[in-house]
Amino acid sequence: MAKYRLEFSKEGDAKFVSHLDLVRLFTRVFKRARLPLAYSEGFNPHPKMSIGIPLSVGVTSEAELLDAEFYEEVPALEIKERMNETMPIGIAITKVQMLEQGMPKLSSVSRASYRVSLSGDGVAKEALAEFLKRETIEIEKKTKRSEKLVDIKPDIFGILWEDETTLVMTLATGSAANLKPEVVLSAMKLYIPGCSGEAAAVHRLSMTDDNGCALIAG
Amino acid sequence: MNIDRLLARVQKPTRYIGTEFNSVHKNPEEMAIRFAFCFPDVYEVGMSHLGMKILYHLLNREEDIYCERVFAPWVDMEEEMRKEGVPLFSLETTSPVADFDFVGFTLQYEMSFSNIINMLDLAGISLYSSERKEDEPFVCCGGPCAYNPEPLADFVDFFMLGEGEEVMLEVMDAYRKWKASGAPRRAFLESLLLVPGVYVPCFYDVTYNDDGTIASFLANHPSAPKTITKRIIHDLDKVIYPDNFIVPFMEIVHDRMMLEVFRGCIRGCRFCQAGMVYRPVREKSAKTLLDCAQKLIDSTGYEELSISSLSTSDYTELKELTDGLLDLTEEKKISLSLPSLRLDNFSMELMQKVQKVRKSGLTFAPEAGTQRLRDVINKGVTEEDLLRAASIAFGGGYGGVKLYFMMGLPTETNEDLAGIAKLAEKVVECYFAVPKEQRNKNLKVTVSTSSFVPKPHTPFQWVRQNDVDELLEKQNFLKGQITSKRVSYNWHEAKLSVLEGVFARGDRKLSKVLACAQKLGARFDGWHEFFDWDLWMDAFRKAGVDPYFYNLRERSYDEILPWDHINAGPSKEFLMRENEKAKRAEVTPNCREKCAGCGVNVSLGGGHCG
Ligand code: SF4
Repeated sequence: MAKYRLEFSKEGDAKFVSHLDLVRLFTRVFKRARLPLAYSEGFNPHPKMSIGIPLSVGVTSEAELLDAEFYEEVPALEIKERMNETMPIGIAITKVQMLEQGMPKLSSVSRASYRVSLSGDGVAKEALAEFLKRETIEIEKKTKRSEKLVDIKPDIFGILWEDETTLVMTLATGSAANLKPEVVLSAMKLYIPGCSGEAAAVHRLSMTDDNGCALIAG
Repeated sequence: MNIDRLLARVQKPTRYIGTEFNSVHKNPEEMAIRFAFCFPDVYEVGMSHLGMKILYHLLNREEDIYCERVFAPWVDMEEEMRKEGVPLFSLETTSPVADFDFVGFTLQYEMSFSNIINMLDLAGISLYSSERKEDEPFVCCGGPCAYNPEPLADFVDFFMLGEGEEVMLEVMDAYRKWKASGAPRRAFLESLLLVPGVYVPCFYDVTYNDDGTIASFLANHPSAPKTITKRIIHDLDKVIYPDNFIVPFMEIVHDRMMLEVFRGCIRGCRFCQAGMVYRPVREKSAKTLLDCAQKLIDSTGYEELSISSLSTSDYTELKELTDGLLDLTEEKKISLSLPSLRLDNFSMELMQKVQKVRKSGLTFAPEAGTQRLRDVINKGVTEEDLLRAASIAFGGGYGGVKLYFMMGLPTETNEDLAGIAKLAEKVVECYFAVPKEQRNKNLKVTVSTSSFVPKPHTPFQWVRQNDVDELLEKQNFLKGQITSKRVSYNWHEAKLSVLEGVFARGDRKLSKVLACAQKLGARFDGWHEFFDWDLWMDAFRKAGVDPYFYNLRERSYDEILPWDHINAGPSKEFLMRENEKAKRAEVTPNCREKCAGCGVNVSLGGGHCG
C-alpha cells in the first residue's frame, strides 16, 4: 500500500464540474492511466480516494487536493504524467507527493486564498479598509428553520486590495469553519455603498493549515 | 459566444460545456464542412445513445469535417437563452447552430418531434424547408422514426434511411462537389436524388381524397426515385465503431460502455418496428467485439460494460463473448450487464455470468398474458419458458423480477388481461417453491404495462389503436385482477401512447399541428412533467386536423399509406401475410428456423440472411 497526495488545477469550463462529478471523474482517470488505485473490501467496493474541501461550482482553482491509496508504489512523476495524458480539458495534475507517516491530513486544511475579480466599478481601497475595520461583519444566514445574524469577521483572515476590481481574500475553509468568497461579497454589497458585490470570476489560489503551511510540497 | 453567465444560473451546467474526455476539438475555421449533430432531447438522454456516438466518430475521422454535438437545452437553460437572446449552440465550440452547413437530427421517438421544431426556432433557422434561404444550413434527419418521415417532411430538407455509416459519407461527398460548383441550394438537393437511401421530400407531391386518405403520392422531379430503399451495412466486422466513447462529467442515463453485438433480429414479433426495419440480422464476431471492449475499457475508464442488441441471447457466439468479456472485466471491477435476455433460452450459466459482478433485478418481457395473444403477436415464448426462467432466477438468489407486458394489442380481451395477473401469481409461486435457505429474502415481482402503438412497416400497420378511455379501462381492470401483495403494478401514460400513435402513422398534414404546438409551448413531451394533452388537442383544433383519423380507424390494404414510398426491407405482401396470420393466432418461425420470405434478402441485395 502507498498513499499519495495530488494537487490539481481546475480551469476554464471545468469550473462547472461539481464535487460529486469530480470523484467519478478521477476514478475513471486512475483506470485510464492504469494506476493501481485501491478499493475497499466488501460487496460494493469503492475507490480509496478523497478530494479535499469542495470547491463551489463556477470557481476555478490551481490548488485542489486529492489523496489516493494505491496497492503498489508508483514514482510520483510517473503518476503525474500518466494522469495528465488522460485528463479532460481544463483539469491537470500539478504536484504529486507520496504521503509519509505523520504528514498532515487533508482535514487539517483551515484556510484558503481566492483571487476575486469584481464586476462593475469594483471597490475603492479606502472603502475596503473601512469595511475590514468594522468590529463585526454581520450577515443574515438562512437555516432550515429561521434566519439568524452571523458575524463572519472572525473567518476573514485578510483581504488584499490589488486594484479596484481585484481582491485576494484569505478565508476560513474546512470542516471547522467555512466561509465562501460569495458570502464575503454579499457582505461587501451590504456595507460598502456602491459596491455591486458581484464577481466576474473567483479563483482559488491556495489551501493551507492553521500555520499557513501548504499541505503538499514542491 | 461566451455563455458563462447563463451557465452560472442553470442546473447541471456540464450539460452545455462540451469539454468531456474524448470529445473532439478542431479549429472550425479550417473545416470545409461543419455538421451539427442534434439530439432532440436533453444531454443525459442524448449522450446515452449509441447511434450518436457512432456517427460523431465517423464524421470526425474525416479531416475536413467537424461534427459537433447539440442537445435540447433543458427548460431552465432555454428560458435563460431566450431572455438573453442566445441562439441554440453547439457544445464543442459554442457556435450558433445556424452557422453550420448541416443540422442533423436523429429521430428516436415520436415524442421528440416538438423538440425538433423548438430547436429550429431557438436556432433561428427558417422552420419550413421551402422558406430556407441560400445561406441557411441543410436540415436533415435519420433514425428509426425516419421510416415514416411524413409528419416532418415540410421541415426537413432530406432524410437518410437506414444505417448511416456509408450514406452519410456519400452525402458529404455530394456536398463537397456541390460547394465547389457554386450552384444554388436546390442543386445540392437534386444531387442527393442520386444517392441511394436519401429521401428529399420537396421532390414529391401528395394529393388527398375527400376522406383525408392519400389519393396520390408522386415525384415531381425526373430523377426522384419512386421508392427509397433503406441502407444497411453488409459486413459489421468491417464497419467503424467508436473505441473512445466520450466520458461525460455528469451522470447520464446509460453511463457506460456499450458493445453493439448485432443488428436486426431473427424473431419477427409482429408489433415490433425495430425487429422489422433493422432486418436482416447481421452479427459482429466475438473477436471483433472483444478487441473493441478492450479498447473501450482502456480509453474510457468506465466501470460498467453493457451489450446492446434487440435480443442478446440470440447471439450465436454468446458463450465466447461473455467468457471473454468476464476475463477483461472481472479483475478491473467492471460490471457487465446483458439486457434483452429472452425467456426461451435463458440459462443458469448466463445468469451466473451477469451475477458474478453484480446482482441486480432481472427483467423479462412476455408481452402478453395468454398463449393465444402471444401467438397473435408472434412472441414465441411460452408460460413454461417464463416459469422456468423465473425459477432459475429465484434459485440463483434473485429476488426482484420485472415483467413487461403490452396492453391494447390487436384481438385483446379481458381474458388476456387477466392472464397477466395470473402469470405474475405463478411467478410468485415459483419463488416459494425454492427452498428458504436458497432464495433471496425479499421477493418483488413488478408488472409493468405499456400501451401498444401500431407502427409503420410492421404487420400491424393497418390496425386500429385503442383510445384513451379503452386503455384506462384496461389498466383499471388489470389493477383489479392483481390481488397478490407480492406483485406491484405500474403502467405507462395512455395519453402519451395515443399521441405517439398519431405521429407514428401520420402524414404531411401533421406539420401544421407540430408548428402550432411548438408555438403553444410544447416541448419535452416524452417527460411526464411537461407533457400537456390539452395543449396538443388545442393544436389539433387550431390546425384543423383530427388526431383520431390517424389511429382510430382500421386501414384497408389498398389504402396508400403515407410511408409507402419508403422501403424498409420487408415487403408489403409479407406484412399483409403476417397480419392475416395474426388474426388466426398462427405463429411464424424465426429466421434461423425457417425463412419467412419477408423479402429483405431480395430488396437489399446480398441474397443471404444471418
Ligand atoms: S429474408 Fe427470410 S431469413 Fe431473411 S430476414 Fe426475411 S424472413 Fe428472415
